[in-house]
Parts: sequence; C-alpha cells; structure tokens
Amino acid sequence: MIELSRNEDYKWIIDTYFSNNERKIELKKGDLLLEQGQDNSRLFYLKNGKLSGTITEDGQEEREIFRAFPGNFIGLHSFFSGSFISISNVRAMTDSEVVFMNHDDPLTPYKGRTTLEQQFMPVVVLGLINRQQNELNLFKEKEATYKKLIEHEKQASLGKMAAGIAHELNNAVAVLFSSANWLIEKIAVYWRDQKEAAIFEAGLLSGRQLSSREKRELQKMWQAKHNLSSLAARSLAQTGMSEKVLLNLEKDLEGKAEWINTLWEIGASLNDMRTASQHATHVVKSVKLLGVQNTTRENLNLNESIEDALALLNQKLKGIHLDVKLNPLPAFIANMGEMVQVWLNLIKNAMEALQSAKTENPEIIIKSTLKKDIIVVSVKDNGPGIPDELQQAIFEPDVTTKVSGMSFGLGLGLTIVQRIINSYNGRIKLSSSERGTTFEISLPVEN
Amino acid sequence: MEKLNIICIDDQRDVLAAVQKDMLYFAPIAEIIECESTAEAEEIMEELFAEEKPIAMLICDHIMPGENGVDFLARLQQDGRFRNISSILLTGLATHQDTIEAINRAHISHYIEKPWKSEELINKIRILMTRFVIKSGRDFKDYMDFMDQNTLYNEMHERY
Repeated sequence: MIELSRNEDYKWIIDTYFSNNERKIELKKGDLLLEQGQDNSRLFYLKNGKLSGTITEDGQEEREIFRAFPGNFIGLHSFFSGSFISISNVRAMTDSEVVFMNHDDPLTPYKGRTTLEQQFMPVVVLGLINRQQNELNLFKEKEATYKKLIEHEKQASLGKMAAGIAHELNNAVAVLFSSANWLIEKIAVYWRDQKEAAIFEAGLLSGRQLSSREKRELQKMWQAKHNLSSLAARSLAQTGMSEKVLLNLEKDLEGKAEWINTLWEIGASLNDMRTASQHATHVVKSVKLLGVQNTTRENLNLNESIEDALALLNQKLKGIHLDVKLNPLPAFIANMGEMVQVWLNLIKNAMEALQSAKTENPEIIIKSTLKKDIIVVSVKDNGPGIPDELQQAIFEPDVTTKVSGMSFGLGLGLTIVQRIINSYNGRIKLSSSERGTTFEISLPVEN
Repeated sequence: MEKLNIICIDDQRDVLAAVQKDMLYFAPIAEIIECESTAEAEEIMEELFAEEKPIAMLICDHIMPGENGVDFLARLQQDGRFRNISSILLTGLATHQDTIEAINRAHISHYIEKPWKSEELINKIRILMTRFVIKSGRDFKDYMDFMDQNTLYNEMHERY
C-alpha cells in the first residue's frame, strides 16, 4: 500500500472535506453503499472497515474488481469522470465507516489550487495505484488457485488411470492365478501311478532351486556315473532331483529321462505361474497405493506394508542378500500408501548405498518387532555408512548422498519419511559407521 | 553332425527356464546352455572356445545385476573370437537409449520384448541358425529340419 497518508496535500483534503461527522455513514457487514448503474455524485472516504466493489455483466456472475481499506476513496470514477453513475456495487465486507462529500460542495482554496481536479490529484493517483495493486493481487490469487486446481486434476487423473490399469491387470492376473491353482488340483487325477505323482509334486513343491552351474554339475554326474546320453542327463539334471530318489523311482533312466523331465516341469511351471501371479498382484497393489491420493487411515498390519515395498523393489534388489524377520505385530492405524512409501524409501536408500559403493557381500536386514506399546522396524545395510557431517542434513530436502536414483515420480526422500513418521508420532533413529547404516523407526501403537 | 551351442542368459530362474524350454526345440542339433549371469556365460564361452565347439547363438536378458546385457554384448564385439555370434536381446525393460545402444554398439541381431511368443522366438532363431550354418561353411543338410527355407535360398543364391 502506498503511504499517501503522510502526504500533506492528502492530509489537508481529509481534514477539510472528510471530517464532518454529519456526513459519516455507518455500514453493517453486507450493507450496500453503491449500486452499479445508479446515480452517485458523492465521493466516499473509508475511515474504518473493508469494502468490496463488484460488477455484474449480462448473464455473468458477479465479479470483484476492487477492495477498499481504511484511507481509500470510493466513487472515484463517478465523481471525476462526470458521469455521476456508479460503475460497481460497493458492499461492506465488515462493519465499516465512511465519510462523504458531494460533488457540488463549495471548495476551500488551497495553495492557489481552486479546482476539484487540482486539489484532488493525490486522491485520484492513490485510487489508481490501489486499484492496480488490487488487480495484481486478485490475479495472483487466481493464478495460484488455477495452479492448484491443475495439480489436483493431474493427480486425480493419474490416480484414476493407475486404479484403472490396476483393475484390469488384477483381473488378468486373477485368471492366471486361479487357473494355475485349478490345474494343480485337477491334474493329479491324470497321473498313472505314485511314481508320476511324486515327480510332479517334486516340481510343484521344490521349484527351481538349483543354479545353472549346479545343474551342469548334476548333468556331468549323470553322464559320467550312470553312462547316460547328454540329453537324458540334462533332462534329469534340470529337475534337481537327487540321484538316490531318481534311482529309487525308475530303473530305465535313459529311456524315461525326458518323461521325468516333463512331469517335473509341469509341476515347476505351475509353481512358477502361481508365484509370478502372486508377485504381479503385489506389484499392482503397491503401485495403486502409491498412485492414488488416498489419506484414509485404517487398521493394518505393518508387516504387509513392508512386504508390499519389497515386492515393488524385488527386481532391483537382486544380488543383495535380504534378511527379513517380520515378527507378529498388533494392528496399527495408518495409511497403507504412506507406510509403503516409508519402507520403500529406506530400503531403496540402503540398496543404492550398497550398489554405488560396490560393497562386497551386500546385505540388507529388515526387522519388525513389538517392544511394549511401540512397533520398531529397522532397516540395516552393510554399506559404507553416512559421513558424520551429513547425518543431520540428510533429512532436509534437496540433500542427497546419491548421484542418481530411480523414483516412482513421487519426489521420494528421507524428508517424506520424516514427515510421515512425525504424523504418526513416531521417531526415526539413525546410526551409521563404516560398517553400515541402520534406520530404526519407532511407532507408538494407539489404544 | 557337429552339435552347435545356444547360450541363454537371464538372472531370473523362472524366466531362464521358460527360454530354455522354448530352445529345447533345437535340442537335436544344439546344446542348450543356461547361465544366470554374463560372467557365467563368459566362462562357458571360454571353455567352448578352448574345446573348439561352435557357439551359434546368444539369447540375453538386458537388466541384470552386475553387467547388463547390452554392455556384455558390446564387449563381445571387441573380442575377435566371438564377434560373429548372433545375439538376441530378450528384455522386459529397455529404454529408447538402451535399444539404440544395443543396435549400434552391441550389434544385436534381433530384439524381442518380454513376454515373447515361443513361435516368434523359434522362427527368428531358425533364421539366424541358418545363416550361421551357411556362413561357418557347415553342411546345411545335417541341420535341414531346423533351417529356414527362405533364408537358406537367399544365402545360397548370394553365394553361388
């Protein structure tokens, strides 16, 4: 606001023309002072309160064009343009006090200025400046609202899209999952004997436990020790079934190797299908939780949120030894998405620390326990540790120890972790040395 | 007939098993070798080279812990012994940049996205196998059942 009240010309005008108590009008909040299009030959000076000027155009909503505060003049346009018709509706936003002068009031000579225009120049200028500033403020306000709206819209449509994709994927995966289970149940009928059933079950229950190297060793053993062809030996080695078990089951291994392999593969493939669809369901669920702006808190098992986070990172955690010890926890009232974000951040940080330092035998230990009324979850890595001078700063935005990182487009970081944990009255403890870093999250269980 | 070798590389065992199962189509003419990392594959390749056994194909995943597929294949390009092996990049996640690199730097013969169709993969490999057999001067009659007739015709036509 321009400080014209100290200007002596301005002061003189107020003292001379706007100090007459008989010309004071008291307005209650909501009272109309001027009406658009109606006659007005008065100039008003606002002593106290707040006024708002609006205009209505044909068929459109009322629009605010200015606001007046104590010290401002109202009715400038009708008064000085000579139209004597109000261009706006002026209403009291709070209880207000105005003082007015009439257009035909006699003028008091001042510094040789005899006309209205000469004397009122400062008032007109002040009015112009104020309105300009008002307009700027209104524009800024609108711009901010508009930006917010667009941001909301974006998030809402992203969330909707994520939910839509998740729904479609879940349906597809559900078909795979239940079909695999149905096959597992029904296929047993078709085995001709116990032997076949046993081989199928070995595949189904043990799955692919042997590494490619181990399988090659096994193949060599079958070739060398039992004089099998390379193809037969390979078929048997694929199953990972032990020498003893197979010799017990079948006399003609050379002739039956391929059949054994097929039976075992049917079991292992069904097992793969079941595991893969479970994994897909997990990923979809987690992405959905992160994508949708959802802040509802409900009773949940924190261990599940840890598993969801791990499912999201599954592909990236390869090559790192994971030790996950999740102990039974009481129900905790929280937002699933937020909790997944917390673990996701902590595990991802550990993972990236290990990868960028190329730590030998990289390991992450995740543990959840209940200590009295407090749930404690720790994420520990054997990485290079966080330098002392950085330990405080890492919780601040824009502080990173990493060169680059993947993100789910959520602006992840320890700042978010801290904000979320704080909102649950929880605490974060950080301990770090050259032998590794541990983040410990304590969350009080509410009764 | 000399058996050829097909090497499959993927760090995920279920995926590796699925590739391997498709490749069993070629079992009569080729050994199918599974590897869980590029390091393991390199070891096997050294062994095969030392034993003078022919490597016809590499089917390689891209995103793996340790060295990724494109880096590995690009490195093989620098090695005269392995430069002429056909390679297929089989990947579920590759950026545009990865793909460009795979073609320019790693000179992959073909690019297949996961999930793949067995038939598509097998047909592509039949074509590449046919070229390998002809280029390496082997008698294609030995491998006739696994040759792609069009490719065979074109290669022969070019040659004679």
